Parts: sequence; structure tokens; C-alpha cells
Amino acid sequence: MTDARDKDGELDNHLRGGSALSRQYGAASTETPPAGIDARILAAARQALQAGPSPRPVRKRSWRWRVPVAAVAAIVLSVTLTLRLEEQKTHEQSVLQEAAAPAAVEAKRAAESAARVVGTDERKDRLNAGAPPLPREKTATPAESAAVPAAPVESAAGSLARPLRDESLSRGAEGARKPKQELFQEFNAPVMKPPASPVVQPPEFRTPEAWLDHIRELRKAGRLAEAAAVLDQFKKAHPDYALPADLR
Amino acid sequence: MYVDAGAASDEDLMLRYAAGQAVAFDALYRRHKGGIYRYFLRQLRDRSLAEELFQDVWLNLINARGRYRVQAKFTTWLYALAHNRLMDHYRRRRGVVAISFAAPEDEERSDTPEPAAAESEQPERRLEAQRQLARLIALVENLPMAQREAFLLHEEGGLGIDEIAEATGVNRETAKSRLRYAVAKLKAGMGDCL
Repeated sequence: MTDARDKDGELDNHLRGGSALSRQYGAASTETPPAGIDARILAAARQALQAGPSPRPVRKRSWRWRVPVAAVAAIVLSVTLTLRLEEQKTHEQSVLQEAAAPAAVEAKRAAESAARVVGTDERKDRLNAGAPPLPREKTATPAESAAVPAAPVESAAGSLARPLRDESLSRGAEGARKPKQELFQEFNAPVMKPPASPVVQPPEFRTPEAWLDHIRELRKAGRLAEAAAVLDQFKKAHPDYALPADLR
Repeated sequence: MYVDAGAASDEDLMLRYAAGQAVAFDALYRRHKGGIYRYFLRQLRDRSLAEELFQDVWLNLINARGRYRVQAKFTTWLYALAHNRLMDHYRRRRGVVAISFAAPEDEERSDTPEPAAAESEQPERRLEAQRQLARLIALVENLPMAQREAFLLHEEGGLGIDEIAEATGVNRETAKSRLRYAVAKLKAGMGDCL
């Protein structure tokens, strides 16, 4: 503490001037530049005056604008980037919708035809009898349809073979829950037509004869359209089979 | 054109030179050439290098005359030019600044040379005085760089604490600390000779 105060006092004394150290240093430090350098510098000072006024700093004006210009550039850049991102997002959504639309339409069509042929006997009967139609089965809403991936869609003929359950609808719901990225990947995947599903004999008809008997029963029951549809299916499954005369 | 060099302030002389009076520069140069020269000489301990940097500072001043504004003492500005030129020199010779200026300000590093043994037996007083002066110069030259600079700015340029701080770009306390240590070390080194 005392030591620090002493040092401060020593410094103050030195700063006031006239300290022994200053005097001694002043006496010791007397070197001066060589006369040649003096002459050179003095000549340079005169030459500079003859050459005209010293160059003004040219940069200052442009420097004054540097900060505002940089700020404006940064704002423009960020706005442009934001707009582009928004644009990209919109485009992505529309692409996804476009990708999902054909699949949804096809699925809807298949569902309708299947319902018409296989699973809607009751409705048909009611319609024929002049009764009000049953409420239609729920079809995929536009949103659900949009979410349906481009998964292989059953052909109408394939759908005929079995009654349509809510499978396609539930698949649609699953699709709606799929992450967008997955849907996008599916969309970008190479488009491959699903192989034409071969007409397979339904398992309940172990033999062609049993199948034909079923058709006959349908006809007898007056379900002619259904009988015709099943017959078509039979013909596809057994193109070489010689049909009995009553079914030709 | 007559310039009363004795009465005119440094700032006035510089403004007159900027306005085209060569004699104002002559007066200014005469006043400060010794201090600037010795500042470089003590810092660099190389005469030819000191001369080179000395000329650079004055040429910088000549080129900067149009920009000169009286915002501080002329000597603060002049020695700031000298300090900056010295720093440029050190930067080109990498490492010197890092070692000397990055060192803690208050370190009590004693890199000053041991003062030569008293030679009280010397009969000739004049020779003895010369030796003492040489010893003081050696002590100054061996101070840590920042402390040496603070001491030289005060002794050669007549700068006070605030002006030293401004010229070297440090705060007041740092400048004061540097000068305090420099003075203390020199006094200790000189011992009874002061």
C-alpha cells in the first residue's frame, strides 16, 4: 500500500518535470538526425507544396455510403430469400397434390364400379323398387384423396372379384398420415404401371364347374348384371374353357 | 514570409504549413526532429533503421497535411504517427510485437541489465558522468518495449499520461502503469547516481 503510494508519488514528481532522472536523461539523449536527412525532409516538404494541395482522401465519400448500402443489400437479400422459400413451399405442395390426384381418382372410380357390381345388390334392389337410395359409402374427401400415394391401384376387374371393403379408404387415411417427405419420395420414384393383375379363380370355387354353377345361381336369382360380370371374369380366368350352352 | 517560430504553437505551424507556408514546416521540424529521431533510435537500437522510420514519419506528415485538424495536441498526433510506423515495422518482422507488447502490463519482469559495477575508483569525474549517462541510456533501451515507449513519449515528446494513452491506443491506467514501472526501474537501475 505504502509502496504503491510511494511509486505514484515518484511518478507524479517525474511527470511534473525536473526530476533527476529527467535531467540526466535529457543530458544523455542528445542525438539528432544527420544533416543529409534534414535536407531531404525539408526539400520534400517544399516539393509537396509546389505540387499543389495534398490529395484529399477520396475514399471518404464512398465510405459514408458503405454502411447504408450494405444494410439495404442485406435487407433485399433476406427478403428475396424469404420469398423464394415461400414460392418453393407452395410449388412443393402443388406438386404433391398433383401427384396424389390421379391415384385418388382411379381409386374412387374402382370403388364406385366395385360397389356397383359386387357390394351394392341391396342398393340396386332398392333403386329398382323405387326406394330411396341408401347413403353412399364414404369416399375419400379431396384432402384424403390428395394424400393417397401413387400406390398400385387395383384394376376395376380385380376389384370385381371381391367386395370392396373400406380398405382403400383406410389406406387413404394412412396416406394422409404419411409424412410429406415420404409422399414426395414416392412421387419422385420412377413411375411404374402396376402389372395387370391376372384373373385368378376365387378360392371359394375350387373348380370351373363350381364357378359356373355360381353364375347360374346368380342368373336364377335375377342378378343378371352380376352374373354377367362374374362370367366375364370366368372367361378371363379360363379363356380356353368350352362354356356350356346355357352360359354362352 | 515571416513566421514567428518561437511564439507560434505547433498546431498553428502545422495549419500554416498546410496552407502553403514552407517556413512553418521548417520551424516545426526543428522543434521535433530530435525527439522523433531519438524515439526511434532508443526503440530500435539500429541507427539506419531509425533513420528510415524517422523519414517515413515526416513524409507521412507532409502527405497528411491536408487532413490535419486541431483535435488534439500536435505532438500527440506526431507521436501517434511515429508509434503507428513503429508498429508497422514490428508487424512486418512478426513476433516482436507479440512478445513485447502482449506481455502483462504490470509484470515485474526484470529484463533490464544489471547495472555495471560502480566504478567509484575512476579519478576523472567527466568520464564518470559520461559512463552514468551511457548507463541510463542502456537501461532505457533495455526496458520492456511498452514501458520504454511510455518513457520516451514523455521524455522526448513531452506527452502526459492521457496523451501517451491516446498516442499508443491504450487506456489511461495502462499508460500510467507503463510509465510508473519504467521510472521505477530506471531509478532502481541508476541507484545512487540519481
